[in-house]
Amino acid sequence: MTASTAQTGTAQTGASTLDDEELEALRDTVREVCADAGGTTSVRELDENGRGYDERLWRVLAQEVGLAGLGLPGPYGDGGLAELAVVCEELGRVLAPVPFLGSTVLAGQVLARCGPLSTTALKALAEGQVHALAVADADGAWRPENLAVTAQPAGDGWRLTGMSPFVLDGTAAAGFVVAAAGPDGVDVFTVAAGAPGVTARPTECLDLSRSQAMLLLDDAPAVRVTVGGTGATAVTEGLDLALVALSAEQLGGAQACLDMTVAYARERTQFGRAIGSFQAVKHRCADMLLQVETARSAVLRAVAVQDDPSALAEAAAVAQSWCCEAYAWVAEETVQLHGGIGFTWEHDAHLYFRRAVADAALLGGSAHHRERLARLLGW
Amino acid sequence: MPTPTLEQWREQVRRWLAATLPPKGFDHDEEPDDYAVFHNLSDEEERALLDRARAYQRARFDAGFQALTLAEEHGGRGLPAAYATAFAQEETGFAVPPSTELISVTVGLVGSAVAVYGTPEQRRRLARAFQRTDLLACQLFSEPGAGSDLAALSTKAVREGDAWVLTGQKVWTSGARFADYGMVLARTDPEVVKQAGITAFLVPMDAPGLTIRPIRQMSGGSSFNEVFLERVRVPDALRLGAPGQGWEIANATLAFERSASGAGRRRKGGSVGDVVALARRLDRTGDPLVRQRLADLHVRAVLHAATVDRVARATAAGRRPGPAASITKLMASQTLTLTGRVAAEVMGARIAADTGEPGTFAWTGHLLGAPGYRVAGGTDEIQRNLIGERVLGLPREPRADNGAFSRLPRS
Ligand SMILES: Cc1cc2nc3c(=O)[nH]c(=O)nc-3n(C[C@H](O)[C@H](O)[C@H](O)COP(=O)(O)OP(=O)(O)OC[C@H]3O[C@@H](n4cnc5c(N)ncnc54)[C@H](O)[C@@H]3O)c2cc1C
Repeated sequence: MTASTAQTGTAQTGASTLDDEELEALRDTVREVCADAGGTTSVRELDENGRGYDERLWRVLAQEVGLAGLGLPGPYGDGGLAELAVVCEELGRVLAPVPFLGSTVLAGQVLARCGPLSTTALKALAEGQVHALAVADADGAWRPENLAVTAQPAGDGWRLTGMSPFVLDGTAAAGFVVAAAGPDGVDVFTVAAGAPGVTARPTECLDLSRSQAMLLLDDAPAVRVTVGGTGATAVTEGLDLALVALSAEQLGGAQACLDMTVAYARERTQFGRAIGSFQAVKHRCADMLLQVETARSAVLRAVAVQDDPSALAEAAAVAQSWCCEAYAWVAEETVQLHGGIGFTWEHDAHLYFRRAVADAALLGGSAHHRERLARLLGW
Repeated sequence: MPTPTLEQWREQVRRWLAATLPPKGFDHDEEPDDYAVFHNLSDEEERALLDRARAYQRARFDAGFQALTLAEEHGGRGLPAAYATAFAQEETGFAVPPSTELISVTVGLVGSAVAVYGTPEQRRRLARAFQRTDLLACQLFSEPGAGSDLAALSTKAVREGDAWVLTGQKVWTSGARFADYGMVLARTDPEVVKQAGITAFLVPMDAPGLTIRPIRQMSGGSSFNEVFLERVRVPDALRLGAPGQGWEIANATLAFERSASGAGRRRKGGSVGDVVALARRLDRTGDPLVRQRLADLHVRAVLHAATVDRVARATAAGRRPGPAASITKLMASQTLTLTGRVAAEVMGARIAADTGEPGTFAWTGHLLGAPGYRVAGGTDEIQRNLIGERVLGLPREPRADNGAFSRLPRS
C-alpha cells in the first residue's frame, strides 16, 4: 500500500504475512532481546539515563530487529496487527521501557492513515526516530469535538496553538503527530520537537517504565498531513489498531503477574505447606488465569478481524473493556499474594501495578470503551 | 472420509439444518418468552418436549452429525472439537427444538462413555441407541454422602453368580423418571483406596428394587430426583469397563460434561440478545448505567464464545477434553449468572412481581435456574481446584482420605 491509497481513507495498516510459526519466532526474538537487556532491571535504570526510555534497547529493537516500522504499509514497514500484538505482548511482559507503543503503534498507525505529506515523518519514524501522538483531551480521551489545540493557516504552512496533555513518550520525541481543530474541521499535523513555540514539558508519571509529556504549542509551525477535516477518521481508525496493541501489552503484563504469583505460591511455605495449596490462594490464582485467558481471547479475536474496520472497531472496544480491568485486578492481586515483599519498592509487583493502572487510563479505559461499544452496537 | 475444512463443514451443516429445521423466528409463537434454565413442566409436557428433542437427535444421528469429536475407532466422526463448536454455532440460526439435561446426558455423556469403554456387544446394542436417543440414559453418580467428593460413594455392588446386586441411594439424578437406563457408579471393593474400588454399570431404570422420587428444585420444577437401589440385580453383561475401572470412566464422563456445558452447546436460559431486547422494550438503553451493564455482558459473552472456540481448536481430533474445559465451564456459569442479574436490574420491580408485560417475569426462570449450573457438573469451587492444580500446577491440599475406603471417616 502506498500513500496514494491513504488519501482514499482505506485501512492503512500493513498486512499480517507471518504464519503461526514465524509469529512465534518473532516472539522469541523480542523475548530474547528483552532478556538480554535485563528484563525489568532496565526499567529501574531509567532514572539515571533521563530520556524516559532505554535508548540502547530501543536501538536494538527498532533497528537491528527492525521493529520501528512494524505494522506500517510498505515501503515504511511490514507486518500487520498480528505482528504488533505479539511484540506488544512480549514488551508488556517485561515492561520494556521503549517507545514502541507510543511511536510505532500510536503515532505510526495514525500517520499511516494521513496523506502524502506524512511521508517524511513516517520515514523517520520507521527508522527509529521517536514520534509521539498528541490527540488527547483534558481527560485523556480521544474526543475530536473537544480538542484543546487549534490550527491557523500561515503562509504556505500552518500554526498550532494550545495544549495537549498525556503525550506518551513525548519527552523523547523528535516529532509530534497532533490533532487540531482548524477552519476545515479536525486535521492531523506534524510538528518538529525543536521548532519555535514547541515545549514538551515532562510530567511526573505513575508508571515508572514510560514517560509522558504535556505538549505546549504557541503559534508553532506545523505541516498539515490530512486535508479538509479528514483528521478525525485517521485518528479513530489508527487508534482502533492501537487499542488492540495496548490490549496485547496488558495481556503480556497480566500473564507475567500470574506467572510470578504462581511461582511464588509454589515455593513460599507457611503453616508447614506451600501457600498455593491453600484454597484462598489457589482459587485466586485460578481466577487470575481466567482473566488472563479471557484477555488472550480478546486480543486474538481482534487480530482475526484486522482487515474489516467495522468488526475491528467492535473487537477493539471489547478488548479494551476487558483488558484494562483485568490487568489492573491481576496486578493488584499479585501484590496481595506476595505479602509484605509484594509491597516493597524492591519487588517488581509495583512496577506492574503502576503500568496496569496507567494503561487502564491511557486510551480511555474500560467504562469509556463499554460506552463506545454500546454506541457501536446501536443501543 | 477426508476431513472437510471448517468452512466446508459449516456449509454442510448449514445445508442439512436448512433442510431439517425451520429458520429461527419462523415459529415464533411456539416458544413464548421461555428463559428458564430448567424446565418446570408436567410429566406429559416433559414427554412431549423429549419427543421433539429426540426426533431432532435421531435425524442428526442418521445424517452423520452425532458423536462428532469421538474417535473413529469408537464409532465417532473423529473431528476436532472446533467442528462441534461450529455445529452449535450454526444451530443458533435455526429453530432447534429445546433440549433437556437428559438428552445431553444420554448423547454426550453416557453415549460417549459406552462408546469408549463398552464391550463390542454394548457398543452395538446401546451406544448407538443412546447416541440416537432411541434409549435415554441418566447419570447415577452423586449420593447424599458423595457429591464433589464423588469417589467417596457408598452404593455397593456385590457379585452373585453372573449378576451384581446393587444397594444404595443416588441423588440429584437429572431426568431419572424418563430414562431407560442409568449409568451407575458403585463400590465393588471397599478394601482399597476409595478411587480404586469403584465399578460402572448400566442399570435398566425399571429393574425391580429401583425406586425414583422426584425432588423439587428452587426454580420450582423437578428435573432431578433421588433414586433408591434395594438389591437391584444387574447382569454382568451390563458392567461397563473392568471391575475397579469405574473412577477412570467417571472422570472421562465428567470431562465430557464439563466441556459440553462450558461450550454452551445447549441453550440455557436467556441470552445477551434477550437482555438487550428487554432493555429496548422497557426503554432503558438510554441509561448510562444500563449501557455499561449491557456492554459488560456483551463483552463477557463474546469472549466466552471466543475462548470456547480457542479451546476447541486446541483440542485435537478424537482427543478427550483436557483441564482447559474447567476454564470454559467456569466462564459459562459466570456469564449465565450475570445474564440473570443484569436482566433483573434492567426490569427493576418487574422481576419481583408479574405485571403481565410479556417477557419480563419469565426471567425469574433464568434467575432461579442459574445457581444450579454453578453446582451441576462440578461446582465452581471444584473447577477452581482443577484449574489451580491441573492447569497451574499448584500443590494439592493435604488429604485425610488416603487409606482403604472401609477405614475412612464419613459424614
Ligand atoms: C441441577 C443439577 C443437576 C444435577 N444432575 C446430576 C445428575 O444427573 N447426576 C448426578 O450424579 N449428579 C447430578 N448433580 C449433582 C452434582 O454433581 C453435585 O450436586 C455436585 O457435584 C456437588 O455435590 P454436593 O451437592 O454433594 O455438594 P458438596 O460437595 O457437599 O458441596 C457443598 C459446597 O462445598 C464446596 N466444596 C466441596 N468440596 C470442596 C473442596 N474440595 N474445595 C472447595 N469447596 C468444596 C462445594 O463447592 C459447595 O459449594 C446435579 C446437580 C444439580 C444442581
